[in-house]
Amino acid sequence: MAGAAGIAKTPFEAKRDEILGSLQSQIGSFNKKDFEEQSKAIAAANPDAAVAQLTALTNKIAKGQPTPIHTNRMKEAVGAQIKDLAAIAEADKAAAADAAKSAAGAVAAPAAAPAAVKKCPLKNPPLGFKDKAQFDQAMGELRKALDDAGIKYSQVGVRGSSVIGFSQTKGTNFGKKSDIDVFFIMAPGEAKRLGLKPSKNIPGLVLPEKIAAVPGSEPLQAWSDKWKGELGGRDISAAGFTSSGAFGAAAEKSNQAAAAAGRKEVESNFLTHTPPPAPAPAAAAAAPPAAAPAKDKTT
Amino acid sequence: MAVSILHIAVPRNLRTDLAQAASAIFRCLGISEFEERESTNYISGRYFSAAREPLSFKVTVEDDQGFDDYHFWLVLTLPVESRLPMNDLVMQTAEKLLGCGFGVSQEDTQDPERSETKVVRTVYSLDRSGPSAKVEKRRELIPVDPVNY
Repeated sequence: MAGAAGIAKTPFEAKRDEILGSLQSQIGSFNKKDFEEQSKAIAAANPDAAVAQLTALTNKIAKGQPTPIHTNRMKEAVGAQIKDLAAIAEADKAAAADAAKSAAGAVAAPAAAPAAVKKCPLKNPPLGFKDKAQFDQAMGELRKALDDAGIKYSQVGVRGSSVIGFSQTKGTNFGKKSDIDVFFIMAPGEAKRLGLKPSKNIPGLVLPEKIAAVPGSEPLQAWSDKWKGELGGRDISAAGFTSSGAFGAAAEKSNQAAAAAGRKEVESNFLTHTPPPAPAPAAAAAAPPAAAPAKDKTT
Repeated sequence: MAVSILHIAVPRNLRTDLAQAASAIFRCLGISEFEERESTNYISGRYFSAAREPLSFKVTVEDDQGFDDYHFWLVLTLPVESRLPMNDLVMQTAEKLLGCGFGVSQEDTQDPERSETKVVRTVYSLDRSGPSAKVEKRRELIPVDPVNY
């Protein structure tokens, strides 16, 4: 793995050096030595643990940066690269194992695929709702509240511990203290039109408290109040996301935070709701049993 | 329902602990009972909530551009049925917090100079030169990175 002159770099080392160069051009005071020492662990050890170490290092270095703007830029830059490093390190390990087997005369096995993200089944209906019909009703009423408030959106759904069963930040199971975090993805340009600025730290997120300041948004607050009552006093509110791209980035960031803290990583922490199909008029007149709800997307 | 977000600066020893900061903020407001809640909407994954008629309060970690020198949010919510003016309640709350030594400011979302690269904030301070302390407001323009919509 040594990157001495005259010796070809492994894919991992090449990628690491590329990241280092990029970071140093963005942030003059970036601590190259710490980064190099810690990132060696990625090639040598369990990639999951090494990614967690590297993320922790990123946070540590970020704390020492001169301004929060630098801090955020660096977090984003490093965060986006961590997964690449882990996959490359895994491929390096597999290639090294193959080479060792070949050298010993063994039949080379195909290279192992990068470690798969641990899958966590999504709860549908989300925890906190008594059944699917109640969840469908809540989401249907949310769509109406958004229409009444004049907010254009493309999708609604639920994210966080009520769909994955535990808090990615704290590691605790969904319980009495847990809110139900509903979301809607705003139509392109909608956040800008409404003068809403997204979170500094969670990509694209516009908090319910910010949306409440928009004139005409009262139907959304009424929706939260009503459903808090319906769900036994549990807090429920709808946050906006500026676009589906930002939403995906937020989910990824949650995964990185969870991995850094040594907790479970999930494939997705959000459940997009699809309305159940309306019964056909003729069939409705004949009063058939209720149509089976559509399967929700678990994007 | 009316909602206002106050940005709170706390002493160095409280900056890294949301629970301690929330406790200190609520104590300053004369609130002894509060609850920890969990939500992915906040960067720490949690917040602390409390109520004191007619307001309900939420304390969580600061998450707005242009407020890098502030550490926590105090969200004030006034129910729709209340007829009290939110601005008065914000001023009363700010006065108490300033008296306890916290820094307090608020984003002015209506200011015409607010833009994608500028945050306009109202910074509260206590003028103690007279016989009784008086809350004063100062307007500040803070340049920020362009919003990535």
